[in-house]
Amino acid sequence: MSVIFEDKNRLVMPRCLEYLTACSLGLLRIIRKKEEVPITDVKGSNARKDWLDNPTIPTAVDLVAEALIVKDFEFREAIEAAKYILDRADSSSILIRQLANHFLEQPRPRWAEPSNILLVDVVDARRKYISRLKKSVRIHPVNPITWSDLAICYAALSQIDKARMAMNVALGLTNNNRFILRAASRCFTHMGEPDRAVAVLRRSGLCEFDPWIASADIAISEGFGLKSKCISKSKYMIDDDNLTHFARSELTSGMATLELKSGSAKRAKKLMYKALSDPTENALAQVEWLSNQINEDIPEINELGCSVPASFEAQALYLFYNKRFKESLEASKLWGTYLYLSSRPVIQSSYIAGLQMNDDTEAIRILENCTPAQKDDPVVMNNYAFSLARSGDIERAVEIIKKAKSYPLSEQQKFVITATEGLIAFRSDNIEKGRSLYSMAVKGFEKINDLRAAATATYFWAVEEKRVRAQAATLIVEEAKKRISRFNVFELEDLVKKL
Amino acid sequence: MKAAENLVGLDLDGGWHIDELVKRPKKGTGGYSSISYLASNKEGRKAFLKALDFSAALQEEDPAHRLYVLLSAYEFERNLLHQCKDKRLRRVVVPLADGTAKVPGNFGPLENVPYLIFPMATGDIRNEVARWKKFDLAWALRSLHHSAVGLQELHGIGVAHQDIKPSNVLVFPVEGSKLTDLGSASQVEKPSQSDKKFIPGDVSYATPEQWYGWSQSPDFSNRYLIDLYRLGSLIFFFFADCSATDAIQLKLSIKHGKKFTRSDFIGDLPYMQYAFGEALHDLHTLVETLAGDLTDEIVMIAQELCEPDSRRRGDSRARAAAYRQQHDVQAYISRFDRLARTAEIRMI
Repeated sequence: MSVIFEDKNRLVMPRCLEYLTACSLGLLRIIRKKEEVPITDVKGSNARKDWLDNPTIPTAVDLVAEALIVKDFEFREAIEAAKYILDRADSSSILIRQLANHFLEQPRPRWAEPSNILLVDVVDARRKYISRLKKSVRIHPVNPITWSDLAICYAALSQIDKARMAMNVALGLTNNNRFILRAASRCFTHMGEPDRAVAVLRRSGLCEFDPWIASADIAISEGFGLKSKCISKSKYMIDDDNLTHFARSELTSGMATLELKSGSAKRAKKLMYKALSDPTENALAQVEWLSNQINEDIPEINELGCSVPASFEAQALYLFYNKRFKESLEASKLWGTYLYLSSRPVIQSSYIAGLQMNDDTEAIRILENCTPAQKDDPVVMNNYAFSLARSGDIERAVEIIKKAKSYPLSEQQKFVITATEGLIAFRSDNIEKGRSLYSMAVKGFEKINDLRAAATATYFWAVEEKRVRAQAATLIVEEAKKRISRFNVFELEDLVKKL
Repeated sequence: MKAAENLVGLDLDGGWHIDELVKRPKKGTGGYSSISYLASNKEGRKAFLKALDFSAALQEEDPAHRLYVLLSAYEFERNLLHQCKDKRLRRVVVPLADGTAKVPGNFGPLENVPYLIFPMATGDIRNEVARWKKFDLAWALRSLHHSAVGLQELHGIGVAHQDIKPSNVLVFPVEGSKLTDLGSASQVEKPSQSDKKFIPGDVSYATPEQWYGWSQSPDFSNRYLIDLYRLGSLIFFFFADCSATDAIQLKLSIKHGKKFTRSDFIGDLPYMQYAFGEALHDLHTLVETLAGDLTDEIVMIAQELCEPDSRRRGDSRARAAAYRQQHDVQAYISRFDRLARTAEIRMI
């Protein structure tokens, strides 16, 4: 079984979010502090005079709308007009009632928990959403946001061709909108086309001005060995005080990651703190990950994790590192439903459920309920096979592991799967084969210098030896204890003591 | 007392007599103040008189310049109205007479008050709708048809109205609806005060590209596209009680928060298109209860006319055809006429 803790190369990849979620999180806000706000005097307007002379629904609507357009929400007469609309307008007049209600509504505090985040974990819900989006594009086919949302939903269902087609339409309709560009680049990255993802960002010409786009370019380029062309500009951007801290947070945390990789931990640390000034949940998760890489304890992360909306990943990791596994599992589940294209949260939650909570039924439930896009990952399949084998469903576990092996695998993934095959062999009463496979996995991990993974595999091997009451069990258990202590596999420390 | 407020009882050229002051002096969007009167002639025909008041200009810091601006605006509008009259535009309100009234008393250089006399309307479409106990679909569609004809007539003489809104669509007892108030209009190759304005006309009815001061080209035809948007906005008025601009701004504000501010038009366009999509969805719901099987056609017209991206606004076939222009109104005249006839036949 693998765990996200092994993630050695976290990057600030743009989140693949639907429009409503992005709006709720405030990700589409302006990037400059001093944005030009048009000033029109409502007090001297005709709409006001009309309303005062002849208070009717149409004059009230005109005045409220004008005040809304010029953002004068405190204008007394407009407030009265809004109340007039609510008192007098027909209940069927949905738009004007909505207008009046919205005008009178108190602005929510910035970090109020957004209710629009689509925390739906059922594939069926996504299918229904696709149906709605398809209806919407039939009515208004030139709306790129709907096409983009459609592409993301198709990608979640692993309908890659349809996703690609829908995203191409979105890009055909607009090629320099931040939301579309980030969604497209993430979507293409998910579809295994990182060069296209980067090309889309660069063609927009926004990399040099927009920190959101620059951050996406750097992360994707870095993740796939491409050369980012906006690193030097980004150095200026993260120090540009005309840009909001929020807009710069992902770029700043991304630059901190680059600094750390290039060996400048001091500079990375400085940037990490800077990124925490007003972070997005993605920036917060990156800082959390970075702080663990350099063993820097940053207490603000936990506080921010509670106040930054949708910071499920940061919370899940923080709680995991602090051995609060039950809470970490809950946060991981939310993380998985929030980022339904990413397999990392599913790997994390199935690991915690299966191992820390010793609840393979829950792990199987998590793995079966995730989206096809999340399932489409050899490590997720490995975890699924692991829990199935432990639950006694060997036949299915063998089938799943066979499927996982058909993917192009990294060395580490190959040894993870070998270890799980060892487990399956043990559970099929093929003890010798099990030992041989576990031994092969442990040696493999040692060969690639992944000593934590070797310790973890030794632990699972020890569990199986103990279960079959083999004579060699004591030796393997001792070896597991030694390795877990030596390589700081903190999440197994308590479990190994019980062996 | 201003000279322009002192016209009651005066006899004017052409046999017109000023009967009554309409109390509310309204500031025109054309830049000058006008004072409204009721007038009648010897045949007993009632009319509406608009007297121009330039006295406020004298109170300003640079009265000469201000006076020049106001007079230019008035002169421009009067010339446009004369052209409309000469070309016999049927769906645009043209003056019955115009001239200068000499007001007795000590008013100095302001004793000569320019005026325009217009035929008497029963009110604008807002007043008409307010009178209805039950929504009159046929009337609304016919009014939209008349407005489209008025727009085509204006475009035909190279004039972009730029301030089409419910209060500028007047209703006449026999003739139906007509466009009025050319105070914000522009004409091809004739510079006017409106050309210099960021948003000519009412801001509540401004197009998305006007909010940003964006234009696909300096071509005059962009002004015609603004008219198309405002024509489509009348559909929103009849069925949703608000303008397309109100609906889009509302949806934007709900999604992005009250503090949403613009950055650049092309970058923000997808947000506006999404907001417009939502507004169309609501419009569809509202139209459906009133227009039944005509709903799809009506909403489709609203969608084409009010498209936030001006490059895609208007009839798609007109945009595709080499011999037609993007701002061609003819298709909408035909479609509104057909819809109105269908609704009228169903009433019989």
